[in-house]
Amino acid sequence: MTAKTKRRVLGTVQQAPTTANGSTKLPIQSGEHPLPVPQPVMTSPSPIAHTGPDSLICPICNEKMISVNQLNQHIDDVHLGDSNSDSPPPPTAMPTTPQKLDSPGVLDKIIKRNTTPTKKIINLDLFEGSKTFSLSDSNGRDANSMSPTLHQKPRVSRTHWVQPSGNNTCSMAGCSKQLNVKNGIVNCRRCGKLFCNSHTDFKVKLRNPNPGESIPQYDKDGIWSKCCEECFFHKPDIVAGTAVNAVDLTSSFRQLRQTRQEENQLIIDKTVKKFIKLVNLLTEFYITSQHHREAPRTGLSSFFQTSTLDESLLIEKQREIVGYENWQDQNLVQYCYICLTKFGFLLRKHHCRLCGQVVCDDKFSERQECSLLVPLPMILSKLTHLNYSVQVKTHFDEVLHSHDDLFSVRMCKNCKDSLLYDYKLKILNEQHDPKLQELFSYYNQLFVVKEKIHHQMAKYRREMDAVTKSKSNAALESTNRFKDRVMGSFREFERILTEFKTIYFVQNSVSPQFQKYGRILKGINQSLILFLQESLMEFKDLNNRLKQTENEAMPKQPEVEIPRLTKKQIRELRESLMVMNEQKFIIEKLINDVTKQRKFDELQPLLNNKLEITTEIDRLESELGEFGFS
Amino acid sequence: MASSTDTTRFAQFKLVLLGESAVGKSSIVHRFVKNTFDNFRESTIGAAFLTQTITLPESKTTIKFEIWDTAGQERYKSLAPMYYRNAHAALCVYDITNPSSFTKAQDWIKELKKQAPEGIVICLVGNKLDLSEERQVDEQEVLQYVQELNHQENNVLWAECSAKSGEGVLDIFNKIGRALPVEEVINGASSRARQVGSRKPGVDLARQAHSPQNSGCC
Repeated sequence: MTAKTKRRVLGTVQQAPTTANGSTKLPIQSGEHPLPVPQPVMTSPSPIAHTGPDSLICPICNEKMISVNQLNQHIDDVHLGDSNSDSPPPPTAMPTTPQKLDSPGVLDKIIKRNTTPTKKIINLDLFEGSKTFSLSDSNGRDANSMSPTLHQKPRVSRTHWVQPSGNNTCSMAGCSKQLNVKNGIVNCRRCGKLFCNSHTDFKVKLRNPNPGESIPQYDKDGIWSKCCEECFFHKPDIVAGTAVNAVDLTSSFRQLRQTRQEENQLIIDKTVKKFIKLVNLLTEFYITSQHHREAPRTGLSSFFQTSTLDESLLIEKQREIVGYENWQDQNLVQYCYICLTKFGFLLRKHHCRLCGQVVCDDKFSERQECSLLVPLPMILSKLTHLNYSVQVKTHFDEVLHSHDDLFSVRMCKNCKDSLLYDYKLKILNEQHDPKLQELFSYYNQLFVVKEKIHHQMAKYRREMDAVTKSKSNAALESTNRFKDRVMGSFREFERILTEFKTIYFVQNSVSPQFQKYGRILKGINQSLILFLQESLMEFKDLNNRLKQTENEAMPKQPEVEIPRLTKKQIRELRESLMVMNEQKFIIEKLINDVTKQRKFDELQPLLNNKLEITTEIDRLESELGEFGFS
Repeated sequence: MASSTDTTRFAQFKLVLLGESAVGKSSIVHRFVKNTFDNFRESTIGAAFLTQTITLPESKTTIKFEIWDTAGQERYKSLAPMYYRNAHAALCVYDITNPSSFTKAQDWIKELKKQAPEGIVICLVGNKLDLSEERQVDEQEVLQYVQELNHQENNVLWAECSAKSGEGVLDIFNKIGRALPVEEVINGASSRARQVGSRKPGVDLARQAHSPQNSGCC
């Protein structure tokens, strides 16, 4: 019976420990296991896989395991294949330690138990994470060669897998690792290609392919499967997540801006037109009142005092100009439309004579002034060229210099702003003119040179690339000349920049007299410096490359100057040295011979000569220095 | 003991052979020293050293030539200065069948005049006289050249010889021996000559002690 034991799992007891006397005790105490107690059929002690919480032993091969996980993995890896073998090696005598079966964790893990003595399978489903007991009898599947897990755990189809053929490399781009036992031979569960271990670290949920689909598909309810990087990043949710979300809003922004500007312009136009009408009206009134009353200097008071009719007429006319539909009923208005303050006893309501809205004129509070009684001449002096009536134009000077209160108009802040919008713009432009002109002329100069350098740099780069490829001397020469030209441009740029800086800057900050243009100056300065830094860096880089190419192309020329000796000299000196050494050898041999032959009279010249040669060799060697042979 | 008496005087001179390669320098030397000739002499490597003594009967002088036979190949050109630097005589050898070798010999003479010590006895030697049928260097031409040189206060001898037949070889050395400043050397004008002279009489034991050392190091 022991021989037939087949277990998968957990080194916990999967078989009741049998005592020596043959009786089997099932140490499951809780009654929750409706398992038939396995009958003690055999007399030999059954293997006990579990020796304690710390040391686990594989029930099949007795290998020691550290953790339950490891054991499970081990059984999967090592013993899955021989599930059919009839007789797994019977475990040798093992220490039968008390089983820890009473621990609920262990009990929980016992999922499957074969009651027949011939085949006992306890399937502990650790990895599926299912905590429920799933009991199944695997008896009926004896014929099935597959391991029990295959039935228990659905697996994604493997039909599409690429079969390893001796000489595979990892399909991951740029990996090219040889696939072997060491690097791993792993199929991506989705695309089926072969990868090494390190490139199948990803997991996706897959389901089996439906008819018509060749490979498994992503499915949220699928099975976690190993996959390659590519398949992982093709996961629908990842694809969705990394999709470019940017939307180009430039055109819509432009449109919006356009409409806004047009609206503004419309408002300005309207205001200006109303203003013209108002001026016309008031001038007419002013002149007629002057003519009729002969009271030139006390306009308003006399006007208001003398004729309320005129006043009401004036207001009526003003309403007409504004437009009756725009002339707000002041009884309906409770809040100033600009500052949104509630009108009250102290806060009077006023009508803007240009837009007809009701505004406050609280000039004493900290609130901004929403409306003002503006003396018309003040505005007229600023807007002299509007299309006023003939009467206004003829009396323009008179009107302009009148200080008559009659000639004042209440207008809200908004209307005033839009009325004077063009004027302010103009003033703004005019104000900056003299100094700004100079500034801009500098900027223009710099800009021209900058553009020039930009183009030249591009050309230099191109030429450099060509030179690096061709290495022809002519190209080198022309590039060198071009380099000088670029250099010249840089010098010009530098000159203008220094000039610019000496005028507008004092020690890297804008000089006080130009503080007004601080921002623009700083901007220009910064951009120029940035440009200079970037271009100079590239320029330097290109120059280095040019030099390098030059050295490569003409190695002789630079070496003529750099080293102490020319190549020819070195060659000659070496040759001499070699000859000298040879000669020394010859002489030494001669000395030897002469000494042997006892021709001492010949010895002296030879010794002298040897001395000479030695000094000569020394001289040559010292001359050669680092170029010598040693 | 053999100083300036009437008995045979002895002087030692350094002689160097210069010239283009394969003109027969070594052959001349061998003819002179060993009275042999080898048809297939290998070209010299570096510089060979040989000695030969001649006696000038008229002045009762024995002259010992320390002959440095330099290689003519361009490669060994750098060796030559070392040998002619303190030589007493120089043989500029050319091949009478080879004009370029004569030009080369002329170059050597020029170089010697520039670099060599003053008073060096230069002898222009035309070799291979046995091949006079194939002569290409005209005698007259050479003579003219030599005369020109001697006009400029140069002491240049000229001779032709054949190392193969031995014709004229000894004459050359006799000529040189006569031209050499024997008296000066013997009277100890040059320290080197005196040294050489003092070498002659006895054996210096200290020298012997040096020699094995030298030979031992190779």
